[in-house]
Amino acid sequence: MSFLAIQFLTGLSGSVSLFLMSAGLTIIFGVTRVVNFAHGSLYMLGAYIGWSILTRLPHDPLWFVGGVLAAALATACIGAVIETTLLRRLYRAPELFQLLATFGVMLVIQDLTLLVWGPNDLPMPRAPWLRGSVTIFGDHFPAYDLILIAIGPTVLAALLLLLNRTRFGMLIRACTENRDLAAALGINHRILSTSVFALGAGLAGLGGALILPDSSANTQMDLAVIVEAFVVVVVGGMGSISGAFLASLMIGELQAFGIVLLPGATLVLVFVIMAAVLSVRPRGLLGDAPIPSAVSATGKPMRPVSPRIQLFGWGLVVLAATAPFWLPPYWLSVLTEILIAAAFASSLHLIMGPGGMISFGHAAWFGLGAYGSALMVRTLGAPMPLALVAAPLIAGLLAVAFGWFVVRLAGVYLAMLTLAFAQIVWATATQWTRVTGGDDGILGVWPSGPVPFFWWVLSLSVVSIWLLQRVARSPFGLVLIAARDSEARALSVGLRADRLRMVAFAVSGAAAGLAGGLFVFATGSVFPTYVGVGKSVDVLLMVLLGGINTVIGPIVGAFAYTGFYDLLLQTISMWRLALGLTIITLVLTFPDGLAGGWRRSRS
Amino acid sequence: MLTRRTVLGTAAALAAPAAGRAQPAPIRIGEINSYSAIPSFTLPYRNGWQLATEQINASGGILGRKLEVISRDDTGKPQDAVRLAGELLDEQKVDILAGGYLSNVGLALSDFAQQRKRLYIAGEPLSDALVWQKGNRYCFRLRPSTYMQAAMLVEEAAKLPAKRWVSVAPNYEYGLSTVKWFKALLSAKRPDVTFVGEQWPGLGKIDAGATAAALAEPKPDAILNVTFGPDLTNFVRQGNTRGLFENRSVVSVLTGEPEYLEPLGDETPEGWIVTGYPQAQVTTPANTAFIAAYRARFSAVPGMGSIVGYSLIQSIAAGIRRAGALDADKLIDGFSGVSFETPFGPASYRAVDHQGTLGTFVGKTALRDGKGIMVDWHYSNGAAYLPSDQEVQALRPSAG
Amino acid sequence: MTLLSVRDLTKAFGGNKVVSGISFDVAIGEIVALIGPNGAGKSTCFNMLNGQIRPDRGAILLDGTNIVSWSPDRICRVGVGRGFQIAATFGSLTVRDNVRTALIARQRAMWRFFRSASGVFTTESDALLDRVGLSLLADQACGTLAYGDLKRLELALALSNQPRLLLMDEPTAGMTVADRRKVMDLMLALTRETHTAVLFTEHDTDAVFRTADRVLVMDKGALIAEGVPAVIRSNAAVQAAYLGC
Ligand SMILES: Nc1ncnc2c1ncn2[C@@H]1O[C@H](COP(=O)(O)OP(=O)(O)OP(=O)(O)O)[C@@H](O)[C@H]1O
Ligand SMILES: [Mg+2]
Repeated sequence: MSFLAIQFLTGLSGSVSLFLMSAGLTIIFGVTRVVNFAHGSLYMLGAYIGWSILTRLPHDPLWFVGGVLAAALATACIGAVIETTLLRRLYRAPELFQLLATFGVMLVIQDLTLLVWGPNDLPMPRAPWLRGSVTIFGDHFPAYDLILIAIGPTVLAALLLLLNRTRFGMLIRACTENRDLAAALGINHRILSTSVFALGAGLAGLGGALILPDSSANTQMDLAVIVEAFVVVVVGGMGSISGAFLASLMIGELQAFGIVLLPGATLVLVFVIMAAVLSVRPRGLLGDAPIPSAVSATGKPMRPVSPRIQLFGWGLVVLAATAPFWLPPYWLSVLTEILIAAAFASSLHLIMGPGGMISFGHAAWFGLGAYGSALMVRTLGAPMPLALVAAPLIAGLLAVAFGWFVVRLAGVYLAMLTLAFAQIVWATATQWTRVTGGDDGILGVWPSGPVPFFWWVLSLSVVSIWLLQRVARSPFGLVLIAARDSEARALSVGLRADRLRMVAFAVSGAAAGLAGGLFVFATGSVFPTYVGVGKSVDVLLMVLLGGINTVIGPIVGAFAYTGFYDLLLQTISMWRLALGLTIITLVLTFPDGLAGGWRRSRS
Repeated sequence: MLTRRTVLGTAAALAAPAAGRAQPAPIRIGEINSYSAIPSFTLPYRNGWQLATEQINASGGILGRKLEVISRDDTGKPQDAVRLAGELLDEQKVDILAGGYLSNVGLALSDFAQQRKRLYIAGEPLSDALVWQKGNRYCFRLRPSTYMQAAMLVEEAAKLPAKRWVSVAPNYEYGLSTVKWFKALLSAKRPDVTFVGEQWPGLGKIDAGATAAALAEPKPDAILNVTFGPDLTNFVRQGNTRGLFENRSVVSVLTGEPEYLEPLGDETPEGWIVTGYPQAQVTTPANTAFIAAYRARFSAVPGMGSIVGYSLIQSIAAGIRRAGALDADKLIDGFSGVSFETPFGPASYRAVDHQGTLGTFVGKTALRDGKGIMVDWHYSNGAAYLPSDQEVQALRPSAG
Repeated sequence: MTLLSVRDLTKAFGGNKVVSGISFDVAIGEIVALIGPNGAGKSTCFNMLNGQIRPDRGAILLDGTNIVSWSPDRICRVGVGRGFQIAATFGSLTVRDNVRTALIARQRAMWRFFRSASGVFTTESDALLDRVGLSLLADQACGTLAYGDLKRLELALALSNQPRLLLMDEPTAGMTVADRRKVMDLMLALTRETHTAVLFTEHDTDAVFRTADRVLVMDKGALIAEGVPAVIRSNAAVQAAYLGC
């Protein structure tokens, strides 16, 4: 009994910083529609700034409160700067394009943090009053955790008051519910966006500073929290602060009790919960705002590829076929990787562009193909060609099964469900050691020789991309786009939008699986990192960077992103800073994506 | 932080006197590590290998040639490590690959090295598989593996009266295998011991309060801790406040390493049995000289990473000297059984499984002047904590 | 001959009864207007008839088959066409591709993955566009059309499956007076030709009384009157509902 009570309280206190993070995220999303990838970075900055302030202040409670608030304020200012200098210029770009920008910001902040605060974890020495405990049912319970437990509802109440009782709050709600209407009513969206972003950033900073008595400021904390914060926002219902509160409580408690019942399940618990909630409530617990479509039908038609560009493309393919004769081996391996990336990105493009479904978990199919073919080789002794047939089949079949759940959702909810599935695949890869080798992966899956293998990659990637492009232009592709543009209209001319999407999902999954299968032989191995969030984000960035509105976008994006990344990695140690700044610059210069930008500059 | 350019700059500057004269090209080591993903370990590590390289070159290099280290950041991903290893071999024409922090990066590099028939010397990766189940003749590993670290700690743990044990370890390969070995080895020595609970927090995501409470619930006598880094700080703070460590023995892997002990500050729990590095307390000539040189070069105190980086390069130099040539087969012969000097004292690469016999320090934690230190420590030589050659050979099915 | 037969159709949104137990019939080839003040529940009715919304209670019989709980695409396939109050078209496609999409759907040709969409149903699409007078705009992106043309396009889409019953929610909303008349006449001409029944709503009462064979009047979710235009025009209850006195 006492254990249950203690664990319950622990769950409550654990949910507080999660709530502060996600409350900020959800408000920002509501008003600006920005999926803020840099929110974890703001949280991290809150912790580092808090550390710098608090370690210089006297150790009594009042100074602590002052220091924490100062850290939150400083983070809010940083948020305002990010919004005014960067995001503000992007509100008119296709939705989710801002995601690219915030990803760039995240990379920049990672290196800047390292530069300013150094590589070591920075723990704040705890004042005696922060170390104290109270006795509850005969067990020690940290006094500071009780304070945290009180902070959660206090902030919730303050935010609800702000939203419901002030003019500022009324404007926020108006914008969250209906942006166009709010704009029509003459609400100054600029000032509102900036202040909302600052508010959200401040909340993240507050969350970051408040963890200092419990843990150190460290360089890994941004990524450690961001995904979970997204989960909370989505489970709660996007834009709903009470929802975020409820969801963070729920996840806090489920963590606290989950690790008792299923200690091994820590990696997947939250994602299983999210998948379960979304299957029952497609808009989260308290989400009733209209679902914003992630990739909105911008009204811009899909750009056809002009015959000249097609010719140019085939010319490049022929040139690439001769590459083994003149390209040094390392650059051949880079080209191999780029081709695979292009095939992977093209597979995502089918569901994101024509399909209108954004995926945060596309690495799931890539990884399934990779594991599928690696296992074919290692356990069944299959030759490479057979393994490469199996890869798309396995990925495609599972994509059908999973697509059935996914297509019933929309927008960011759909995206998060794909993430949940990818995380479940990832956790399986990590923990089913007997089959997958766990973190150590499966090794020694090499092709017979690098040059013939390059031709394999070239031909299969080109065929895969060519087929995907054909599919996008086929009657199927046309009706898929139609269903994206207007689901109601599609249904009433007799199209089953969900089935179309499911098939698109399966085709895309199979193509991604093929890319994964090829990648196994390119690196000789497969690891859970192939299914990781990082891999999903990479491919998303390629598609966004290239531009959604044309089928060559993902190819351009894959070349640019993979090429830059590989190049930076081997030339400078602050590659994150460089990559981040490059992404930000590109986003500001080409708000239609690289392929789109190029066309525009020509016309 | 140093940028790679400055690192290469130093290497170039050192090689500069050679420029005008017809001096042989330097021997190139291609080094790969998780610089951006795990900076708290890898930056002291970089200092370590830089220092070793400079010392070796100052004393005339190897086989009459300078040593040059070309370093790359694997970002914590094995796929990047493999690609960069290709770049180092094909573009930079390095003679030997080295480095690695994460086990899977180490395994990927080892497999790549085998594929390309080139040597790979792993510094930090602790996975047993690296030299055993997935061991191959091209791969050598410097640090004591999870098995060895577990064996060293079990020696002390077996002396404790504790019978009921719980464990907490990060939910990935390193944590899983350490707990597995610790259980197996301790149960073999102490059949009366039972393990009554386990916690597997995600790496970097520990829910410390809940984990501490869940560990206390089965009323254990002792705790095995495998968490490190930020997770460890959180865990110790919650454990202290909640009285988890009161009247309990704690055995903890790596916690005595300065990188992980320092952040605990004045909250360092006393009396934990740990592996680590007591820095200046170790007054052997080798260690004292190393610390002095390190301090002079970087105005900092070396961490465990510095030891690994430094010893890695020293071991490579010794291996090349013994081989007398740079082709893979000669190098393998040269490295197998080679002895080399480290700040911890002499060590060697075993011929039977290419495992380094570098040991580590086992001792207890204590608080002095608001800082955590190791006391009652002794050096455990790695050679003494390995299974018999026969057992090892059985574990190495794939190595030729 | 009755084509559509609605019985006791009911829908509430969160306790708020929007359509409460209405019943009516539509005969084959009959033109029926459903009118009522804003918020009467007309659009909700339409949404239930073509399956966008599932009613809480009641039956919708099409040719004697109860189609309640059928999905919109299935309802479409048994011959019901639909126009929306706010024109719903495929915004990023050209006018021709909009119609082509509808024809692909009708011919169940969407599972063709490898041939080019631009080669299917082009003549059929152009023929349909010709009928609604959009031939000249066929290659234009649908997002650039004037609202009147958009409504015409919607009419083409609604007619693409050669429906037996056409449901048009305010087919002329948001158009100029001159345009309204044209579109209304076009709709009538096209449906008379094929003997298609039409159920439509319209706020322009003149147009209603001029074109409808029969008029249904809704207010606050209930059917308050029903009859030929002349009778409805003089119905006191209808006047009360409209004038709000
Ligand atoms: N999805 C919904 N959720 C809640 N209320 C709804 C919903 N759809 C419609 N309503 C409400 O039901 C009532 C009837 O709406 P409906 O759109 O059917 O009216 P209408 O007769 O078509 O009006 P109008 O002439 O303005 O188009 C309105 O009060 C409306 O606010
Ligand atoms: Mg209406």
